[in-house]
Amino acid sequence: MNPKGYWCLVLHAHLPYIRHPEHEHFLEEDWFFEALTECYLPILDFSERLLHEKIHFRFTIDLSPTLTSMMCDPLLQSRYLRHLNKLIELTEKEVWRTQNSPQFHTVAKMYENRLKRCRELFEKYQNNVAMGFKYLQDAGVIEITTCCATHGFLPLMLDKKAQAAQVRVGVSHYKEVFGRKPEGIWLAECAYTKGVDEILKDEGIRYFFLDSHGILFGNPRPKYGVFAPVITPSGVAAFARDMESAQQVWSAEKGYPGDYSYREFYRDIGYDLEYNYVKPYLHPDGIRRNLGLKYHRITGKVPLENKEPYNPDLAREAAAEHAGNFVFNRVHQIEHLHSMLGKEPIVVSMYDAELFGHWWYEGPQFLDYIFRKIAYDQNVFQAITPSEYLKKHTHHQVTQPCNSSWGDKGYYEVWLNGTNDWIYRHIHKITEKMIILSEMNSNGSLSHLEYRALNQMAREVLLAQASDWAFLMTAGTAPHYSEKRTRDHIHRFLTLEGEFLGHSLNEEFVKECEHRDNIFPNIDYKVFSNKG
Amino acid sequence: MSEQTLKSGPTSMGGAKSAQDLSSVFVDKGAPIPETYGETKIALLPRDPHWMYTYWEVTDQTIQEIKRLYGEDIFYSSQSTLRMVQISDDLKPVKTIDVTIALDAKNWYLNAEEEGSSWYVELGLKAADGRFILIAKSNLITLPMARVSNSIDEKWVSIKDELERVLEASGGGKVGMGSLELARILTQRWLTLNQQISSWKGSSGMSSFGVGALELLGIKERGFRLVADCDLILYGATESTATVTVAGRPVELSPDGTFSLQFSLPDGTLDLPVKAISGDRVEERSIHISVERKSQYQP
Repeated sequence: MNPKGYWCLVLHAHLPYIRHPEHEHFLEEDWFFEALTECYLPILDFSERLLHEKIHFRFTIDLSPTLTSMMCDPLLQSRYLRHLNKLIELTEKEVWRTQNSPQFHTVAKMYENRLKRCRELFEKYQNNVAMGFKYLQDAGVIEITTCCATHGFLPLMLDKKAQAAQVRVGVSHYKEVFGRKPEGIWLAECAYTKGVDEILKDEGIRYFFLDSHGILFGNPRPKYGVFAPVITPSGVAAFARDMESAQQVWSAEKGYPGDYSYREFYRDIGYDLEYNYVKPYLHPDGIRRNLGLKYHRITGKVPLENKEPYNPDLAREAAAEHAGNFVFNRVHQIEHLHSMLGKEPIVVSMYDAELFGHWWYEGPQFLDYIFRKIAYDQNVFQAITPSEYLKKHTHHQVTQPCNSSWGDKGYYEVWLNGTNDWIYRHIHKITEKMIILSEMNSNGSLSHLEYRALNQMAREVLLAQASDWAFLMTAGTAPHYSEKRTRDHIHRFLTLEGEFLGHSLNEEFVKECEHRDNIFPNIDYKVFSNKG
Repeated sequence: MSEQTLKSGPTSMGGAKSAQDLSSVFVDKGAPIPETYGETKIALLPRDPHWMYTYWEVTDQTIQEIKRLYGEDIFYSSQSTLRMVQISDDLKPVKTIDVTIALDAKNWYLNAEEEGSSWYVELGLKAADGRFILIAKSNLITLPMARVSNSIDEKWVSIKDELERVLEASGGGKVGMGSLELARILTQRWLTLNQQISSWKGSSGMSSFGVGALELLGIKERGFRLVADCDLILYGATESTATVTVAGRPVELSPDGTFSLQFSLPDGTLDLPVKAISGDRVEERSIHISVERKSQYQP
């Protein structure tokens, strides 16, 4: 029987490029390690299981080029193993420590098992998690999209060549890692401005994603709302976010992650246990921080000290129940839409991948259950990828999407406000300089060192353009670090540029920059000009 | 929505505490970067359907050149101005709005009434005799739309009812919010923002401070047209330490104690009680301003 509609899950997996070889331990590198342990490896794990059990499932995951580059980086790989091994050592101690309190003991055992499973998976893919996702894509069960090279926020760039460079580097990096060209792209923050679709068209990309109003406010009005892709004037398909399924997961009040059985994020043994016991697992500065081992559940609106012990079985039941509710709602939504539209709707649910596992510890279980329930408990809809959908449906309405993003308030304010507007005059300037350098040096009569310097300048510009720095300034979560990164990349670019133009390149400095900012080893600076 | 709080998750791993902890130990804010680049330039960026951001740099060389051409005291005798130029789809100027600025501010937020409109800005000096001395001209931008388009593709004209239902479902009938409603909410948010007492500030002053005469250029299409509208600008000054409210809402003061607000002014009466309380909370002054707008249209 033909399904009445489709559900398209899109996970956006992204972290800024954070790698500091100049320090033996660097706090912000932990973001990547925690996301591996709690999100990417668990998602990979359940996906492999579904594949081996031959359960039909599909999802689309955007692995941003910065994240993929970190996954592929030997230094970060070895540091992750060091981090993971320390954590496993700690859980072994925890299993011993909790042996007389059965409730906590079960949880300690759970951590030990899961962390060891992470290590097993990590080593299975020769320490490169991107290869795990490649394996799933090659098996035809998931689709990996690319993203702007460093998650650059395209609408706030002045020159279309700068936007094109972000897209081109994202595409070529994808080819290097995944061995094929990307079908789709996740524009950083779903930030779209008219004309970006032309760049995508030129790079052979067939689809991208928008927030709901990106299509709803499009011109002319979209006949099928957000339940069918539209084709932009340049011929690229745009899929938009369904708000109903978004809110079921995101909403702080009604959303699933707030269930009282789920794990409490803010009670962590890094703060709870005796200092000398946890000290060997903290950073060398010895400051108490979260270690990722948490023994309590949300419990209710109670102070942290009144949280009750975490029960993995109860939490699993809640995840199963929520997955059942999610599937039930999709069944009704899709049946309703089908009768109204007279065709099969596609419901696109877009989430940050890091929600599943990090903030919502049971998130990966929830996704696992969703796919099992879709396969066994209903026959109204099917999970699908955008590419599969576009193969089945070829007739679409042409609409010019609305300039938009999926950030707070729907436009560009998160990345342009009083906390971060100062960065744009600098970023625009180095971008403009890079475009000129690229155009002036298009026919290679350069020395090897000059060539390396130009490529490094291209890396510095891209890294400075990352939307994460502006975002962190707005969020106020890492203001010094985001300011440091913005300044450092601008400074390195300007220093290299000055030396390049003055024919006084210092090889040591070029080498130092290459060593620190080693992303995109095969970049060609000419991506910043039309000849690239 | 809770989305941003959640979205900050992956990048705030380790929690806010760790960031604070770190700052007390070691703060590395990065390498030095220049404040200026030796180029006279102005750039314009869109922020949302009704706001844009501009930044500029004017070199000493440009300043000297202008003095040479227009007289040594030109920067004192004229008004530094951002001229916002709205253009039509076929790139013709539709209207201009002059905003008085301080040249040293180097950046400003500018309000545009009409979403989806296209603009560029000119940085210049408005001389006493009304001449506009251009210093730099920005790039052109188009602001985002904030509502469902009125345009229905000809192929789909017969499906209006259906469209309403589709739009209604595009987003969450089951959580009590249809997409049409969602669209309305989004639209409303921008309308409200537009009408609200604006507290957005450039780095050195109210962004809408000193919005000058609204200048309507001829719109050359077929037929004879007349378009006229007006806004209300309320301005005042008090001690910089005072607390000021307008219609019960607190207003942010510039460092020199001045304030200025722009309101859309529909037909009807608008009451704007202005109240200032001294910094030591001992004295209080108020002025009640009441404005009536009555438009009469004659064919």
